[in-house]
Amino acid sequence: MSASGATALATPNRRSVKRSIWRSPWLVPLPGFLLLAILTLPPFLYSVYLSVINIDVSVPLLPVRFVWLTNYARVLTTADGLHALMISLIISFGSTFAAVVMGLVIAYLIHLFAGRLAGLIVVLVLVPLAVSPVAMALVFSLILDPLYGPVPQIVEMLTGELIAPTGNATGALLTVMFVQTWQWSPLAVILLLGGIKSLPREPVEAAQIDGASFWGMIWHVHLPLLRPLLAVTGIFEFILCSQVFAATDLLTNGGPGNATVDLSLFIYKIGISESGQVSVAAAAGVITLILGLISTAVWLKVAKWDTQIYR
Amino acid sequence: MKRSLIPLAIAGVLAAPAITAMPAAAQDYEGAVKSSLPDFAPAGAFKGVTLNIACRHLPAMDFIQSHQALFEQHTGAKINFTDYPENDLRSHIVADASNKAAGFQVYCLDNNYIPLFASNGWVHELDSSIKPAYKLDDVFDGLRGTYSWDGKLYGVPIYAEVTILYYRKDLLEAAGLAVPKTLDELEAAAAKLTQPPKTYGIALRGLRGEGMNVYPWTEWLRSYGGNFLSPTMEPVFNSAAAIEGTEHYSNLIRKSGPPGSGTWGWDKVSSSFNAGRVAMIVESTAFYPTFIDPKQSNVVGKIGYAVVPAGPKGAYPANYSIGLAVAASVTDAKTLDAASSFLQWATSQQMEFARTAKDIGNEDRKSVNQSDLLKSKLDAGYIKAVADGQAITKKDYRPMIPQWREMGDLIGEQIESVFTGGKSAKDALDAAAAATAERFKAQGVAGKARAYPELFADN
Repeated sequence: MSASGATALATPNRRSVKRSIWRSPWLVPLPGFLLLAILTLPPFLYSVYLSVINIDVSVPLLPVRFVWLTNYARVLTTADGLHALMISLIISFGSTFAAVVMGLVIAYLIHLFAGRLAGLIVVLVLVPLAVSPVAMALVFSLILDPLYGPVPQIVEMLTGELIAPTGNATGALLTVMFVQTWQWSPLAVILLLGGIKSLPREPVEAAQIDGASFWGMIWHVHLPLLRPLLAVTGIFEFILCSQVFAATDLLTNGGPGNATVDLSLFIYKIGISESGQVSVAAAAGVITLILGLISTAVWLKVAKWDTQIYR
Repeated sequence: MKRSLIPLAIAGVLAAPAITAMPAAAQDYEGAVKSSLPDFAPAGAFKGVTLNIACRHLPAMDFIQSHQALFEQHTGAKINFTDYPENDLRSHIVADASNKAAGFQVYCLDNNYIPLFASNGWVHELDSSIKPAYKLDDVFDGLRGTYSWDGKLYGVPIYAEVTILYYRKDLLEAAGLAVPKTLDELEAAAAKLTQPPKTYGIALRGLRGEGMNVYPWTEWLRSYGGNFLSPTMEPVFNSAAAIEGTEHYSNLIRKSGPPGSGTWGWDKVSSSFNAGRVAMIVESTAFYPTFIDPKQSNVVGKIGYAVVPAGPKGAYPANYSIGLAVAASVTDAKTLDAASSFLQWATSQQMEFARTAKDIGNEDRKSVNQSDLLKSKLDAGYIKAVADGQAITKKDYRPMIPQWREMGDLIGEQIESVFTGGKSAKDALDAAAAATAERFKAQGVAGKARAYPELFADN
């Protein structure tokens, strides 16, 4: 870096400056990139390979054949595959949205009302982040247990009826999304609280002088200024919220029936735990990856954070 | 863990009645284990032989491990046990057998794995090497049958269970009800005993899985006369009889079960019974120790035991077992002899009496089940329910075919949505049948001859 900087100083023509800038940011993280590539590329390429052949460990001595995109078709054209895809989308987008909104609301509450206790409250709010998702899923399954859990007991005291939140398809899906939101919204809280605290004062004061109402201020001044940060928060939340496994595996086990089987649980069940269709699972894994890439691109597009931050 | 039928950790230790000490003239069960050794293997016969055994922690297995030195000293063989967690064990022995790795000479495996291992030639048949001292006829008949494939014996049990009806004597008596002997009586009793939100009539497994809801559901399928497969391996578990049985099971859960119990596994079924919130359950004998343990149970002394209620076509208790088998990779005669001798000695009548004396239970043998030793330790009603259940349970309760586990999981997923009100029994079973047929086609078994006898005449 210092070497290229020196070159740039010595020959201050436009072309070499451009080249040295181009070079240095690539060289510095190169070891990191290489390590990442070594760790992630071989398994990725191997799973792409698996996804176009016909490995099925439940069939002994099955000759390995190239099957084109049959496995992808198996995931994308059958009822259970499409259902898993849809559940994945519902859970990840639903809980991402809920987590960002919750994060924003809590951040504003802390910003407006916490005063000197803000530090302490932020620490307390962060607790769910520190809990392992597995522990979280098990704790929720106890809390919601119809016979011993406090939530059904309270509902029973109020309404006289015992409920089982995970006992029906809609309830189970909402419960999984709630657990995801509960676990990951604290991250949105700290990101957005930091953003709110560091908003530029000029536009805010200008709006105050113009007589903006509280909601007008938030809607027309704060939120547009927070938009790039909201996008980043959304991307982080999406990455975290779409990695749902503990809740679906331990809290609902994909049930009732297959109501909460998302793509990752589908992969686990069809590839490992209930069947041996490794190639179908690999195809579903590649589809999950593509889905993740598309979603991130969509997030970036929606919020136009690249234009706002870098131009 | 998720797949397991039974919490084996809690299953094995029978709570000993506090006061009943060993009788003064206690029989020397430990001595018998030692003195029986020459009946299974000549002294010093297996010098230089090493037996690697793939197993998992079971109380009965640990008991055998604690006695391995006796066998080693007597025969000169060296024995290594490798303990795996339940699901790891399955994948390890399947990998060892299918890759012909010969890492293990003895496998510990579920009896419903016998068809897969036997049909692939992964394990040795044992008929020719069973010694008279083993007393094979003493093993429960149905249980022995589940270790057979194509008429030959491939394994011997170290653990066995059946399902029985557990009921609350006090609640049934207060309601003026007799112990249900038929499924209709069970339904009527369950409805009458349901007084929400305090008590519910019955809890049954609803959670999807071959080892979960399908395990007791099969009982209802059989009781109503349903078969799983046609002679040409087409799924027929969506027949009218099967639908009727499924609806009966589903009605019990939905009308007389605790809310949400359509998604319960054995853990919640047994803990709700322990908590006194449920009047009756049809569950594995594995849970008996927890129900009579005052530390875990609120209903000690209030429990009655009976054989499972009968449907229109009879009573069909579920069964499950874990046993030992000799790997096919063993080829030289001396090692083979050592492995089969060890297997028989480790699961012998003497060994089973010795572990029963140490309160490690779940009997596999009629003689132990009928012994005074067991009577001095366990509830007489329970012993009778186990004996009756073992006497009538069928070796082909579930299809003993290599494809069973996957097929069971496909059924389990669908019937859970019946128990939770998402689908009709017909739609669910039709969907499971279609999925199974598709898998059978992919596996190349569709249209082949069925390799096990079904319980009922084919239509």
